[in-house]
Amino acid sequence: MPSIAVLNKLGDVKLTWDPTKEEEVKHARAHFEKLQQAAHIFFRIDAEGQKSDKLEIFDPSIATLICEFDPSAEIVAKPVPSGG
Amino acid sequence: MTEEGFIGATGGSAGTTGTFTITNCTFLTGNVGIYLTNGASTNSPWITTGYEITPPTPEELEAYRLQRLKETWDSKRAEVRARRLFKRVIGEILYQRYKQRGFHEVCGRSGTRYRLRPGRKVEVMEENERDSEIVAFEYCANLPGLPLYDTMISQHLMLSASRKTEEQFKSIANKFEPWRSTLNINIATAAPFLCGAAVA
Repeated sequence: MPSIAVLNKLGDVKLTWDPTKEEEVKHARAHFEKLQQAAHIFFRIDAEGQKSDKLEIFDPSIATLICEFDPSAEIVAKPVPSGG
Repeated sequence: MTEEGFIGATGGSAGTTGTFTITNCTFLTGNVGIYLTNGASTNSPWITTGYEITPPTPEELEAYRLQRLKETWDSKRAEVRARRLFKRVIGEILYQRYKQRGFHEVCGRSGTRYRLRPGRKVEVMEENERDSEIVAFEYCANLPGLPLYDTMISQHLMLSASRKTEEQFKSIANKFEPWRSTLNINIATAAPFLCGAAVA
């Protein structure tokens, strides 16, 4: 199920929607754009997470950085980290 | 704070008047005062500051205790949620490997290997050997105030998703020498010393 999981103090807050329903997709897109304005970074994650355990090669099933809203994707939104 | 409720403060010298600023403190004991020490474990008598400090009532203490308990539980629940999402992001295979080894290893787009541990700096592994166990240096960048596994998710995504995010992470993070640098020794060259052999 497509969703946007936003990392926060509660762990994460997840917004899900039905991609066949226009109203819900519109609401999700608005939420995505609101997070974009709050300087969040978005990654689309694969349906099964990372598939390969071979770490010496780049695994294309790893999360992908996205800048546009994808109504069918599972997205993780995170704020920009700060140096520690 | 010590068990007696005293707050340590430093500064000033003998014969001078010192100023101590106390911020973000909660007095949990009935006895409140300010002790001045000369650093040689001899304490001066109680000093009155001119301020009235009222000890908390039992009701206030109980409310404080419940508040702290709630904060602890909220924090634990958040960490459990974050760990579930971490498992979702990296997948079952790598999560089991993480549980066995105690660290999560990520291969960046640049080919650099990074090791992530909750609450610890990101370890950058030496590049000269494929399976090197030597930490070249460490990066520190986190999400303050968020669960530790959220920070790990953030580090994993930024380091592995694209070259751009990897470089962005490196530009944000502070770079440190590995804290275990004394253990980063080449066994072959160090063996004579380790075995106590005479050095010519």
